[in-house]
Amino acid sequence: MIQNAWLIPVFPLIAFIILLFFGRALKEKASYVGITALALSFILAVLVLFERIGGETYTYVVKWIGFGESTITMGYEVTALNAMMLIVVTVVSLLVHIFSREYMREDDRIHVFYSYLGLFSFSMLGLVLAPNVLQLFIFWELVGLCSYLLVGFWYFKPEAAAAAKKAFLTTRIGDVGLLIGLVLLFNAVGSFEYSAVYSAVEAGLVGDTMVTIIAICIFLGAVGKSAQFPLHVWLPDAMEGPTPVSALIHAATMVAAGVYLVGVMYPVFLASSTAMTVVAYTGAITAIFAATIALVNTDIKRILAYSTISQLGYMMLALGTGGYVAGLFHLMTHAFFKALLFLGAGSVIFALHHRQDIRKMGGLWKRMKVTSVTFLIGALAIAGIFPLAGFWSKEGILAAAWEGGDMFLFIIAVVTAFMTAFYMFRLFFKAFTGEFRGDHEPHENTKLMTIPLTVLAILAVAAGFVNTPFSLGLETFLTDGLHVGHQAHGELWLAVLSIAVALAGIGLAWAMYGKGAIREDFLSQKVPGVHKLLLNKYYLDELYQKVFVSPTVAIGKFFWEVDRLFIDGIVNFVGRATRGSGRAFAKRHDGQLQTYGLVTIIGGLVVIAVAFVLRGYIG
Amino acid sequence: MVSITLFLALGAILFCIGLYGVLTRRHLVIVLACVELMLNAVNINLVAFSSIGPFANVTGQVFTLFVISVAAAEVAVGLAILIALYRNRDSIDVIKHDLLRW
Amino acid sequence: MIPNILTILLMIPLAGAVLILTIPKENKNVIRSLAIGTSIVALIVSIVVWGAFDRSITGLQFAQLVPWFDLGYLTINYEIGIDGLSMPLLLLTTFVTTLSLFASLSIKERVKEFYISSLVLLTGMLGVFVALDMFLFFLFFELTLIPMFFIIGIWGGKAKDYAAFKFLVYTGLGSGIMFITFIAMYYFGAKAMYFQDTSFSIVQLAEVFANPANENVLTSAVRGGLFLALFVAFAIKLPVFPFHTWLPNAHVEAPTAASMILAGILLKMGGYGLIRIGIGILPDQAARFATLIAVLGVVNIIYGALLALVQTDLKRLVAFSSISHMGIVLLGIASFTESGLQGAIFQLVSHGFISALLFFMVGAIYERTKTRTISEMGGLSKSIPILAGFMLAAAMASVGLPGLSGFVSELLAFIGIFGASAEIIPAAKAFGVIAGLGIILTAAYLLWAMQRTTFGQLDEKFSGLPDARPLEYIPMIGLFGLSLLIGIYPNILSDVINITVIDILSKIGG
Repeated sequence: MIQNAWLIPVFPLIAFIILLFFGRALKEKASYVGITALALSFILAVLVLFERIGGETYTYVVKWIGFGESTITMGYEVTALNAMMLIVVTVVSLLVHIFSREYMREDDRIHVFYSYLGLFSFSMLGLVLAPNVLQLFIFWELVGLCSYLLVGFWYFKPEAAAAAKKAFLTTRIGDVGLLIGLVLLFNAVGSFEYSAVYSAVEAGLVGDTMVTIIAICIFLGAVGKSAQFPLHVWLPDAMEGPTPVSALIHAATMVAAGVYLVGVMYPVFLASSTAMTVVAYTGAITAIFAATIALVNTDIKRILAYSTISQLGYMMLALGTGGYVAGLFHLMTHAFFKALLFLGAGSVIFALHHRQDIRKMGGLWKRMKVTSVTFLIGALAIAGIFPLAGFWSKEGILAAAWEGGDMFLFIIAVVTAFMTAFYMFRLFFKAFTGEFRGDHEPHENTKLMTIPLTVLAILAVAAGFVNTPFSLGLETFLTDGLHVGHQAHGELWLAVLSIAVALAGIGLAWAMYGKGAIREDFLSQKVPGVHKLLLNKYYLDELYQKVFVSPTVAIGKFFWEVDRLFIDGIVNFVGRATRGSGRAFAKRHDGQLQTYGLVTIIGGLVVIAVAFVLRGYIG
Repeated sequence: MVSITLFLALGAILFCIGLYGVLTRRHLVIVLACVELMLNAVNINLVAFSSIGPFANVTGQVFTLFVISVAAAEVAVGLAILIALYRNRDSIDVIKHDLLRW
Repeated sequence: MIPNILTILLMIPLAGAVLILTIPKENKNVIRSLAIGTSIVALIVSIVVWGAFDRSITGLQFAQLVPWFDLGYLTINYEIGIDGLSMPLLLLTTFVTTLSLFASLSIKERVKEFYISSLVLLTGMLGVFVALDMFLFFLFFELTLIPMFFIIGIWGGKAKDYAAFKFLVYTGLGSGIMFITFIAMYYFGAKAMYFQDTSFSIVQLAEVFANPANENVLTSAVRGGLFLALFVAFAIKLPVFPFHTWLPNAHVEAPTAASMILAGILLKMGGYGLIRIGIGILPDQAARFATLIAVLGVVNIIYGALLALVQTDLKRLVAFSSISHMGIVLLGIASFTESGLQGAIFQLVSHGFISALLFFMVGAIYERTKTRTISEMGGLSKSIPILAGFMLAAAMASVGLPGLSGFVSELLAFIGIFGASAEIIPAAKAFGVIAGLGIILTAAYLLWAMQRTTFGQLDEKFSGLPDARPLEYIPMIGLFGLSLLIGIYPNILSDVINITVIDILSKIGG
C-alpha cells in the first residue's frame, strides 16, 4: 500500500479535474465527487500510516530538470512525519467537505467551491508527500493559490477581493525569502533532497554563517505562511472566505505548513543557534501579540483567527526551544480542535444567517445543543484542560520552553496560555450563555453539520493520548532516526501550572462575561488607550500601508512620470528634433537661386579656409 | 616682363565682379552677362599661365577656346530659357522665380 | 530525414503568402483558412524537427551551407542550422504564430494584406532563429520589421501611426547599430585572417575571435567595443532599460495578434541574438561586462514592475510586465552558470507563451468591454467567467506560480545568480535579493489588477457579455497548456537546451 501513497493526493486532483470540466452540470452533486475522493484518500492514508508504523518506508523519484551536471528530481516519500500529516490533512479535509455540503448549499457556485477544495487537498497532500524541499515549495505555492481562490471565493465582495490579494501578497513576501533560502541551500549542498540536506548539514559541509542565513531565509517562508509576526496581517482578513475554508486552510492545514516546514528542515535549524533563537522569539512574540488582540475582538471568526496565529506562534516557540516533538504534536492536536472551533463557529454563523458579531449572539447553548457542546470541548481543549488533546501538547511546549532555559520565553508561554483560556471563554460565554441578543431565532443545524463537529470533538478529546508521559507513542515514531533531543513532556509541576493558568483564565472570563462580577468594559474604562490599541490591532495595517504600500505606489508613479517625461521625452525629443530641424532647414530653401549661390560660395570658402588652417598655411 | 600676379589679380577681380553680379542683380540678362564675366576671368588666368606660367605651354590657350565656345553655347541656351520663362511668367526678375523650393 | 528541412520550413510561410496573393480579397474565409493552414503546416514541420533533433550531440544540426555571393574577400553564405538554443525558440515561433492567427479572426478589414504580412513575418522570425551567417541574420531581422510596422500601422488602435513609426525607427536604429557592428566584426575577423577565406559565418568568426594568436588585431579594446555595440543593438529589441519606451506604445496600439507575436517572439530575438552572437562570438567580453548586464537586468525587473504597478491601462500594464520579465533573461545570462543561462533560455520560451496568453486575454476582454482602463472594469468573473478564469491563470503564470513555466525559469535564474562566481559578478547575491523584491512586486501589480478587473462588483453595463467562443479556446488552452507542461515537466525542454548551454559556457573557460 505504501508504494501507492502517491494516490492520496491524486484522488482530490481527479475530483478537481472532474469538477473543472463537468462542475456546471453536476451543480450541488459536485460535493459527492469531492467527498468520495477525500474518503478514498483518507482510507489510503490510514493504511499508509499503519504500514509506516510497521516500519516500512518508500521513496520514489524521477528526473525533473537537469542543468550542467546537476539534476533535480521529483517524486514522493513516506516518512513518519508526513504519515502523521497525511492523516491530519485527510481527516480535516474530509470533514470540511462534508460540512460544506450544507454550509454552501445555497451558493450557486458550489461546484466551483468543491473544485477549489479538491485542488487544495491535492496541493496540501502533495506538499506533505514531497521528498525534497523544492517540491515542497511548489506545493507550498499551490496551497497559497488555493487560499487566494478560496478567500476570494465571494469575489463580488470588495473585502473578499482585497483580502485574497493581501493573503497571497503577504505570504509571497515570505515565499521569496524561502525561495532564496532554498537556492542558497542548493548551491551549498547541491541537492534539494531532504536526506542529502540533512547529512550535509550534520556533517558541517555548510559554513556557519551560511547555515544561519539559509535557516533564517527558510524561516521567512514559514513566517509568511504560518502568519507569524510581522507577516501575520493577512490571516484575520482571510476570514472573508467561507467558514469551512477558514477551518480547513486557515486553521488546520495550510497555515500549519510553516510549522511543518521548520519541522522537516529541523536539522538545518539545529545547526544554527542564532536561527533557533530567531524562531523561538518570533514564535513567542507572535503568540502573545496575537493573543492580546484576541482579547478585545468581537468578530467570532477573527477571534479564532488571532487565536490560530497565537497558537502557531506557540508551535514555533516550541520548535525554537528544541521541542521538536512538542511543536509538531501541538500542530496535530491544534488542527483538530481549531478545525472544530471554526466549524462550530461556521455552524453558529450559518444558523444566524451570516452574523459574526459575538455581541449579537448569546444564549445559543439552549438553542444549538450539539454545536454548543462540541464548541465547549474545543474551547476546553485549546485552553489546555486535562485530559483533552490541547493539554498534552501545550504541556509539552511549556516543558520545552522551560528546558530551553530562557525565562523570558517561558513566561510569555505561560501568560499566553492564560490569555488563550480567557479569550476563548470570553467568546464562549458571550456567544453561548446569557440571553439571545440577535434578531433571527437560531436553530440547530442538520446532521451534515453536526456529525463533522462530533467527530472532531472526539478527536479533540482523544488525539492527545498518542503522546502522553505514560506512552510516548508519537515521540518514538517521529524521532525515529532523527537526531533531535528532548522529551515532549516535563515534570508534574509544569502540568499543574498549565492547568492552573488555564483555569484562572476561564475563571476570569466567567467572572466578567458569565456571572458579571467584573464589568465587561473594565479594560476600555480603565486603560482606554490600550483598549483602543488592541482594538485597532496595534495599527499595523495602517503602518504597513503608510510605510510600504503607499511609498511603493508613489515611487512607481514617480518613475512613470520620469519614464514618460524624461526617458521617453528624450526619445521623442530626438524624433522631434530631427523633424523640426528638417522643417527649419527646409524653410531656408526659399527658391532664391542667388541666396543658394551665396551660401554655396560661403560654404566653399569656409571649407577652403578650414583646410588651409588645418594644413598650417594660415594662422 | 609683367609678373603673373598682376594677371591673376585681374582675373580675381573680374571673377568677383561677375560673382557679385550673379548673386545680386535681379535682371536675368545681367545675371547671364555676369556669368560670362566670370568665365572670362577664368580665361585670363588660363592665358596668363599658358604664356608666362612656370610650365608655360599651349594647353591653356586651347582650354580658353573651349571655354569660349562653351560660353557661347551657354548664352544661347540661357537666352532661350530666358525667353521661354518670360513667355510663361511675364517676368525675368530672378526673385520672382522661386519655384525651386521646399 | 528530409534533406534541407529548415529551408523548407522557411519557405512554407512565403509559399503560403504567395498563394494568398492569387486569391481575390473578397474571399476572406478562404484567405483566413489558407493562412492558418500554412502556419499549421509550418508548426507540424517544426514539430518534426523537434522530434528528429538529436538531444545528445553538442554541435549544429540540420545544417546547410550554400554560397550566396562572393565579392573578392566579401563572402556571404546562406548558412543555416540549429542547436539546443534555437530549437525551442523555433517551435515557440511556429506555435505562437499559429495561435495568434487564430486570435486574429476578429480582424475584418484588409484581411488579405494582414495575413500576407503575418506569414512574411513568420518567415523572418524563423530565419532569425536558424541563420548562422550574420548577414543572413541581419536580413531576416529586418524582414520582421516591415510586416510588423504595417500590422501596427494599419490594424492598430488610436495612436497607431505614432506607435508604428516609433517601433520602426527605434528598432530600426537598433538594426542599424547591429549592421555596423556586424560589418566591423567581419572586418576585424577578416583582418585577423589576412583577408583569406573570410565570411560572415558566426561559427567561423567565433573560432577566429577565440584564437589567442589573433590578439594583436582583436585587442581587448576592439572586442569590448564590439560587444557593447552588439549589446546596445539587441538591448533595444529585448528591450532593456533605458531603450524600452517603444514597447509600451507598440503593444498598446497593436492588434491582439501582433501583441502576441511582438511579446511572444520578437522580443526573444533580442535575447537570442545576445546569446548566439554576443556570447557565441565574444564570450570573454560578455563575462567582462557581466556586472553591467546584471545591473541592467535588475533595473529592468524592478523598473518594469514599478511602472506596471501604476498603469491604468491593462494592456500597458502587461507591456511593462514584459519589460520586467525580460530582466530575468539578462540576470540569467549575467550569472554565467549553466542554470542561469538555461534559466534565461527557459524564460525566453516561457515568457513567449505566457505573455502571448496575457495579451490574448486582454484583447479578448477588450473586444467585449470596449475598454482597457482598469478602473472601468470589475467583477468580470460574473459575466465572463471562463475568460476571467484564463486571465487569472495567465496572471498566475506571469507571477511565477510553480507548476507553470515561469517558475522554472525564475528558479533556474535564481540558482544561477546566487551561484555566480565572484570573479564574474561581485556581490551577485545582492542582485539576487533585489530581483526577489521584483518577484514580490510582480505579484503585487498583477494581483492588484486582478482585484480590480475580475474580482469585485460587476458594472451593470458589462452584464450579459458573451463568454469565450469555441475558436478562442484554441489559443487559450494551447498557450496555457504548454506553460503547464513545461512547468510540470521542464525536463522536456531542459533536455534539449542543457548540452548547448554547457558548450557555450565551456568557451568562457571557467
